[in-house]
Formats: sequence, C-alpha cells, structure tokens
Amino acid sequence: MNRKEFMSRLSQLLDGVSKEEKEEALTYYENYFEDAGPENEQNIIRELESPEKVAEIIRRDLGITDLVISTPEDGEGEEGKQDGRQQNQGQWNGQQSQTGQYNSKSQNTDSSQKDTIIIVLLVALLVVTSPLWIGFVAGVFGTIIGIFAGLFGISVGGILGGIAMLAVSIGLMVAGRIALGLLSLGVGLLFFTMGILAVVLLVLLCGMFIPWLCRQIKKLWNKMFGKKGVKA
Amino acid sequence: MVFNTGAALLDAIVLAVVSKDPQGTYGYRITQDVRTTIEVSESTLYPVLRRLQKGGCLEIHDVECGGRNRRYYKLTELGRQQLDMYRKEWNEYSSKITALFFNQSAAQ
Repeated sequence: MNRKEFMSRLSQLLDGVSKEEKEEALTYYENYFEDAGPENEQNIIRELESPEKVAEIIRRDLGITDLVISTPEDGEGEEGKQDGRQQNQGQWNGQQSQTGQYNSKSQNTDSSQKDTIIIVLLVALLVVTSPLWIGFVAGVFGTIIGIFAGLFGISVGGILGGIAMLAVSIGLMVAGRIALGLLSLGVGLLFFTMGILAVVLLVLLCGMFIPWLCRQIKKLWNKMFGKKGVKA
Repeated sequence: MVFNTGAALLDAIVLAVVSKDPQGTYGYRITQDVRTTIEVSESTLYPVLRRLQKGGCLEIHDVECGGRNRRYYKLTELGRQQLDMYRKEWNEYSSKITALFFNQSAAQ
C-alpha cells in the first residue's frame, strides 16, 4: 500500500463523519506524509497499521470530544466536576497506547443502556398489540404446519396404501380373478407413486424452508443483539 | 512502560511539547517529540491535537512551505493556563507517589 492508496481508503472510511472532521483529518494526514518525506512513507504506513485503524481511532474520539477545562484558580467544587469529566474521557493504558486504542467504557455503557431501553419498549409494544397480530401469526404457522402434515399424510398413506393394494392384487390374481387383480395393481401403483411424489416434495420443502427459516432467525438475532455484541 | 498514560496526561504531554516552540510546530514533529518521551502509536495523536484545538487550547495556522501549506499548532492563552494546571497537578501527584515509593518523609 502506498500513500495515495492509504489516503483514498481513509477518505472512504471517514464517509460517516461530518465533512469538517473528515477534511481536518485528511489534511492532517496529508501534511503528515508531506512532512515525513517520501523516504519515510513506508515506515509511517507501517506505524499507522491500516487506514481502518486510523479511521476507527478518529471516529471513536469524536464520540468523546469534551475537554478537561480547569485552571488552578478554580474552587474545590469545580474539581469534583472535573474528575467526573476526566473519567468520561476514558483512558489510554500502556499496552493500548502502543496500538493507539482508546478505551471508552463509559460511552459503551451509555449506548448499551439506550439499546436496552429501546428493546424493552419494543417488547412492551409487541405485547400490547398482540391481539392484532397474534391471530395472523398463528394462522401463518398453522398453514405451514398444515402443509407439512398434509404432505406427510399423503406420503405415508400413499406408500402404505400402494403396498397394500399390491398385496391385494397378487391375492386376487392367485385366486384367478385376473381383471380385478390388474385393476387393483394399477390403483396400488398409482397410490405408491403419489406417496413417493409427496415424499420428494416434502424433502424439497424441508431442504429449502428450514435453512431459510434458520437464516431469518439468525438475521433477526443479529439485528437485535449483533451490534451490542460488537460493541461489548 | 507498565503505567497507563491517561487522556489527561497525554493532553498535558502534547501541550508541553507544543509549548516548546513559541512560533508553533506541526503534526509530524509533535508526534516525533512525544515519542521520544512516551510510547504512543502515530495514529493516537491526531485526535488529541484535534480535541485540544476544539477545546481552545491550541490554535492552528497554515504556513506556506515549499509550495504547499503546512499546518502549525500553537498554544493559546487557555492552553498555557491548562498546561500550568497540569504542571501543578503533576508536581503534587508525582511527589506524593515518589515519597510513598521511596519512603521519604517529604510528603507533608
């Protein structure tokens, strides 16, 4: 990766932040490369690790922008306030400072609390409106289960019935009633074919429907808890 | 280094580095200077400089240099006060810790 690639990737990654902040950051790093000189270009890119990391550090800091403003002349009361704000700013620790990471626990707690409140409200809303949608959901589930059960019935009934009819036809033919025997043989084979068809359909449906259902559940799960998991 | 460099200490170090040049200094040099004292990655300092600038402790001005603009950072009056506060706090803090560690009775 060279300087140009690094800068254009960084520019892409900063798309979410305000135009002013993005321009400031890009100017700073353009300046930085200029001042370091082309001979240090690769060193700096190695030191900065990746545009992703630089962008992440910038983004993270934008969430925590207030500064500890206090002068020695301030009264005692001011000091307590200042301590509170300092804690809010998070900390660099020895190992993290090497990777340039900024530990902002308090911020994460704030946003996950917000998330929790939103989830609780959503659940409450779902419960309150349940008379409206529960019938519909139950209907959909009932239909799906009905289709499956129906197919299952046809396959079992068809195969067993088919086998039974075959047995009957053999008996009839042995007894000398050839015409009736052939008729039951035909009906038996028809039953058997229907049963096999239902099995094939059932297997196909299961093969498509169950993975689809799993994907949907997974998606829903990620939506609800995925973001929180990344932040934590 | 086994000790944490908190946000306030990092602010103080950057202010001290910038204050060494009365006419101001630029990002690359600030980073190199800070790195002679503590271990920080190059990507750590931009947010600090930006934060100090937005908080009114640093001011920026562009200077024409070799056909391009170079951004200089300079301490403001507020920045100077802030640095004085940090110096005073550091004195108190470090002398107490030193006294405790090396069993001197100097702490009050």
